[in-house]
Amino acid sequence: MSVWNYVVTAHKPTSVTHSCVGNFTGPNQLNLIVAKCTRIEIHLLTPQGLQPMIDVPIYGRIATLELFRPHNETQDFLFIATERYKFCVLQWDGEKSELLTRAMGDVSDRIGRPTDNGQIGIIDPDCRLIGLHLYDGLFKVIPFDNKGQLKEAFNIRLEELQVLDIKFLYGCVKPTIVVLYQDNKDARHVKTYEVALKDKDFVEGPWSQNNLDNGAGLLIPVPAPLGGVIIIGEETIVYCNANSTFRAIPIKQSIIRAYGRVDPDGSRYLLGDNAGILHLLVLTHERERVTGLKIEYLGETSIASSISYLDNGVVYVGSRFGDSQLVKLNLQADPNGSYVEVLERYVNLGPIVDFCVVDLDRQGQGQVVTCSGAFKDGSLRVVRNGIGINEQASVELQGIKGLWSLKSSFNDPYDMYLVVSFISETRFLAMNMEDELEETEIEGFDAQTQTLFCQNAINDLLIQVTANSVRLVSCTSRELVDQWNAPEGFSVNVASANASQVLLATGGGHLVYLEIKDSKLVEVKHIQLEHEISCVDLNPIGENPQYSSLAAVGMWTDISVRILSLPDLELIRKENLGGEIVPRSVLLCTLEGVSYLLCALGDGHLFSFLLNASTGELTDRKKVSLGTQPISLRTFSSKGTTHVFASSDRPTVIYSSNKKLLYSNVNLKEVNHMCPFNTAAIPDSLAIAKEGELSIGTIDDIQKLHIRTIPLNEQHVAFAIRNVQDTSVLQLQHNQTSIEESETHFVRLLDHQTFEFLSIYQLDQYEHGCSIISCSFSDDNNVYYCVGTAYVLPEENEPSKGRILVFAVEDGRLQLIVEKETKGAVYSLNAFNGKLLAAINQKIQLYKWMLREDGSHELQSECGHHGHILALYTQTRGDFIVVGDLMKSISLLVYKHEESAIEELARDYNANWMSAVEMLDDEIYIGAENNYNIFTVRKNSDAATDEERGRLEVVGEYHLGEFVNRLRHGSLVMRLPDSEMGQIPTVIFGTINGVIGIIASLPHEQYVFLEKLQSTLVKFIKGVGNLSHEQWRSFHNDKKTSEARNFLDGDLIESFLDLSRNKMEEVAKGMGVPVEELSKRVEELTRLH
Amino acid sequence: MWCEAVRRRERGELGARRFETAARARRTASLALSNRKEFATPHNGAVNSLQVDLIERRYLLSGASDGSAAIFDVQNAIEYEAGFIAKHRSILLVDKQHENGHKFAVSMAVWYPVDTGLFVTASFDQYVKVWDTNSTQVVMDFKMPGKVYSAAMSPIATTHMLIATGSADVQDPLNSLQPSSSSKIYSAQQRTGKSKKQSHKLHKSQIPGHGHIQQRLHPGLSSSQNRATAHYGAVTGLRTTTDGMYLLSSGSDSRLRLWDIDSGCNTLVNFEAMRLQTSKPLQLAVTEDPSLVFIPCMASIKAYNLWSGMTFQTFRGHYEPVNCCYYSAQEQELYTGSNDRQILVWSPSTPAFTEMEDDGKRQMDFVVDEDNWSD
Repeated sequence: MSVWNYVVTAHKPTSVTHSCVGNFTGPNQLNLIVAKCTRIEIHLLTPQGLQPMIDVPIYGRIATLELFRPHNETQDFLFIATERYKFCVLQWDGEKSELLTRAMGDVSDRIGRPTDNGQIGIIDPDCRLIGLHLYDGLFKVIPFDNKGQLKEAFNIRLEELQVLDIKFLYGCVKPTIVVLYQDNKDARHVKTYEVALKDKDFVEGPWSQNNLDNGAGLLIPVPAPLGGVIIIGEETIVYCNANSTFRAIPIKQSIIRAYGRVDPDGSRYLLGDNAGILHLLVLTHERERVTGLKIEYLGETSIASSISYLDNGVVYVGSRFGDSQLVKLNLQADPNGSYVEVLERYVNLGPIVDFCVVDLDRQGQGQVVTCSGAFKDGSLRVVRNGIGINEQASVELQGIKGLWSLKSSFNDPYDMYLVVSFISETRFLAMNMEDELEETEIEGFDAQTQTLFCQNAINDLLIQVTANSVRLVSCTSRELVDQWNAPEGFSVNVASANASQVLLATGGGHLVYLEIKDSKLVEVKHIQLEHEISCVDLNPIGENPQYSSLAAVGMWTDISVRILSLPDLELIRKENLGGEIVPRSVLLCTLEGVSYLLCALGDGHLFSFLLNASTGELTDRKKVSLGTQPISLRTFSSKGTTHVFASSDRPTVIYSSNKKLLYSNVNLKEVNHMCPFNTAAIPDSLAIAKEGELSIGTIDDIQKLHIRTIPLNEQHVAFAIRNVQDTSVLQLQHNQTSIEESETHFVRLLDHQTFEFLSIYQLDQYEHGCSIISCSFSDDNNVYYCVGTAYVLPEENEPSKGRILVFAVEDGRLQLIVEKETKGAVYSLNAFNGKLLAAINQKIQLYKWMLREDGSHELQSECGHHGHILALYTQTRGDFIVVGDLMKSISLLVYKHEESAIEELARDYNANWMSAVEMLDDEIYIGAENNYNIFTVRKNSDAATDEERGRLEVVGEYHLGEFVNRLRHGSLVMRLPDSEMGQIPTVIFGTINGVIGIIASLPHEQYVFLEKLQSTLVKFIKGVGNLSHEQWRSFHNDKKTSEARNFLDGDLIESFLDLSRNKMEEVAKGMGVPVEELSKRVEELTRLH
Repeated sequence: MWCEAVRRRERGELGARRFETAARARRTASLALSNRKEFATPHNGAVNSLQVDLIERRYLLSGASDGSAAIFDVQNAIEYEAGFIAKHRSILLVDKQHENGHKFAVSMAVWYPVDTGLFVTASFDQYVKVWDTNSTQVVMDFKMPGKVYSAAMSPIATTHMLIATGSADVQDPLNSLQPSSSSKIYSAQQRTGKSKKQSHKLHKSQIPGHGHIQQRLHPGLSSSQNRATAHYGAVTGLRTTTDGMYLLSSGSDSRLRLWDIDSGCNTLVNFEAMRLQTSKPLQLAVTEDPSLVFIPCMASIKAYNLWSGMTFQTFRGHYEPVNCCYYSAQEQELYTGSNDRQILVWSPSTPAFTEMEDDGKRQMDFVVDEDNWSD
């Protein structure tokens, strides 16, 4: 690998941090706005459900998301503040359907200590000011002027240092805040302050309330006319207001972190606690006087981080620990006593605590299995790039040359027959009453020759095209109705048909156009082209689904594709493809309302053109490489949407998203032919002809990354999974029955295919699983699981005892072979030169695998290395070890065989608090740290002085904006050895917010090119809210901020493909490179993930 | 628990920032005389000043009464004793033997804040000298009208290169114990060169300013009290918190006071009784949070909770009065210098280490707030 790295997101953040509801896109449109750490999504509420409108990246980690409506406005504005002290106010531009920046700015201060309890951003309900609590002891005020414009911000000193929450009160003459804080005796109180905008100071507020619940952590301001505030504690809920009304109710102990207001008058609230229970809090009141509080159990949801009440009892529950949900609150409880009905789930991979890259299907393509979610929402997720075909049935059949499905009548929604063509015969399969495929006969068809094309036609007819004839057969009687014979001496080479038209080409460049009129085949036009014809298509793309006014023809010799008009076969457009490879398949299709001409070559390349369906004009030519063998194209539909299947040695599904063509590979090795086979028994399935096999399978949802969820019930995944020899997956988890009861940790063995529990090993009391690997030792062929644990005793600051457990798997059972006690927590384990390397508290310890005299084994400690604060993460390569320390960045150790000792070679002297490390190669190591940065360091082995050799030189720095939990070598995509991208080494990372990303090491030449592209793109693609990309990606911690270097933002670079054609051209002009080449190079990059 | 905290951080349950704060607090709370790190003192007199550089936070600069200044590498030891104990010897020493060395006690030694290539020493021989670290030569010196008690450079200044000094005013020897009684500010104009060493030309430019702490009347103070007096006696030490919001002052009246810089008001935190040296300037230290202040109290060092004023811990190890302490936020270590010529290291205790050495002296009285780890 190299120091020039390219960072790109393969799976966007999915953990929901904030959400709000309001009229953002229009006065009468209700929107749900969801923040997923570094992205915001805007949805529109429609009678059909939530409809996504836009999903945009924010150059910052969102700290605050608030909707507000300034005076005299008819729709809401969106206020966003980021963790790095930038803020912006956004407005929806209805005409252009995009976000407009109303205001933006920087609210950082040079003095003050950033708050530990999270940044608070609130907006006065009467829109007089925005309040921000970003630094301990300071409250920043951004006032609005009369016209709703923001004025200059100022700070007010806040005496309370440990602020837990601040909210604005409703219905106050002067803007009033209520502050929940903790004093230095750990008691919690609330206090109110009026903000005196003129004096730029606080005035003591109307009331305060001392000595609240020790777990009080959330304030809910109640709208006027009730006013006042609800204080949510762990054991009580309290309401108080300025008239010294005080109402309290006890609750079952729980930590409530999220609330959503149901009624605009504020009499009902939804509360979500840390066990995922949804409660309803009701303020009973007589006119404007609150008389009491009531709390009711509603049901269970994911553990909520945000709750937004939409309408009609439908609630959006955003979660950081599990899938976010759209739930409906029913009036009647179901048999389990739950009022909650889950309408929809939105997949969330976060927090990805650990993951591994495996090839479960043995297709040569990596899949990522993540350990996702936390607490009751813990799960395993199998993330695969590309679309899966789930085989339902298969039969051995050699030499399939073509495959078509036919319906029993034209209007039947389901397919009935499967026509399988061979070199010298054609066979017909049909679904029988038992939903089984059996061979049948269609009398009118010619079964003795190869079929070139089959199709259902109007008037309940079937069309069969063979080398000598076109046959028209009645669906009902299955008898021949009409026949068209090829002229003497010519045989049909290629053919295509739709419901009412047939186009066929014979040798000598003859092109014959037939139409079905009154159940008769009528030859409408016959022309001769100057070259042989290689492929034809007349899939209807116009308004009439039964009749096409355009035909596409691919040619030998001049290697061109032509658009002809129908019925007169006039040439409308000729596009030379260049090169020497003949087009093998053409297809006219309409995806998401956009018409395309696709043309596939014999060498696995594919051209795509935008097609004007009325004029036949071709624009926006693009070329991509899908495989190495000839491709055949076919449309199919899944869930009511049309997609294109490209059969080749690397089958691909071509689909459209946001009116952009996307290519996603299919988890099959080689497909010769495909046809949709939509039967009643297996709807939306596909018939696929592979080498020597015909199979029928269903297809996954059409999307790039496919995620399979294996819920772990109520389990709480504490740790990780690995796989060994493709036989099993092991994980550590613990089971938490309730808060009081002690946790018990287990080592579980799971089947790697079904993920069923095979075997369980229970750890001791207080023993926690910390690390796990599968490895083998020298002089022993068995593969073992090694588990590192720690005894977490309540009175101990740092675990002083742990164990290393070595398990063997025998008949699907875990057998404890060896256990070794350690003097601390085993934070990390690595296989190392046939030995076991463990990171135990401050120490790195190497263990040998020794055979005792009695034939049993033991772990014997060989050597160690001290001098870390806490060695949390280790990686090895050869004799080298890198250690990621709790707070002292990366150090490089080496194992010396002769002396049997581990010595420190070099270290990075920066104070980075590490969260993951990995060795990119022998020289370069990558680390992720606590402030959401990643960086690379290089070993200085050639340096002149000892001092320099002992220092790992920082060579790359980048602000990722995500907390990385794990870095591992691997790839999500199939590596084609002959493609350029196949040579690029990659590292995958997984984060708390559910991001799976790729770090790819680029050759220097490519890096320089892309760096230039990135700096050009920054000028064209403005960040949402005009936030600066350069500042966002700059390495940032408490001590320093420095420009990103030797890392490129792949998300920005790949957004080039989303630009309009004009913009693309401008960018290309700025780069001095043709648009096609630029697109091609960027498209190649998208193949990395 | 470390183990659990790391897991909770992994799940996103414990914010990265809070994890860091809590980990720092936990380590600071377990400070004890280091059992694995020692400085071998090269000084023959009382250690008056200690500072770690602000760039790499790796080099400790000390100044002593014998006119010497020394630099130690706090991260890499020169040698190891008994396997574990890292012996840090000075990697640079300038003393009276040096051609440009100070003749009398070095009262203060400070790093040039933007580069470890320079440091500044102030001495009772009336000179302030600027040293090139790499060549160990004086590149600039200033003659002051009297003994120089103190010198400082702004760690955040971007537009100037000023050195603030506090020196004895010859006309008014009574004031001489007050470090801030007479201060002069010098500016250094920086000619940026490509080499790491930068040449500096310093010249006198600023006017002396008088440095009494301005005190505004706090509502809690009765009007009979002298509003302009911070301490009944000389102010012996000053330290701002790292967030720039508060100032701590120690006085010969054996009081420690916490001031709000913005308003100039005394925060009225009542620090528990202490006995301070009256005859010498004291160098205080504050943790980064800021939750603790370290102050030399005769031969011991006391840590006070900044907000409650309660004694958090007392560090006993020096044999003679302590003059200075420096808290390294990066290592969470406390360095202290005393009249007994020693520089001691107080580091977070690590149970596993003590166990390995079999002395079994485990500090069990960590007074860490358990809430630090909870949500």
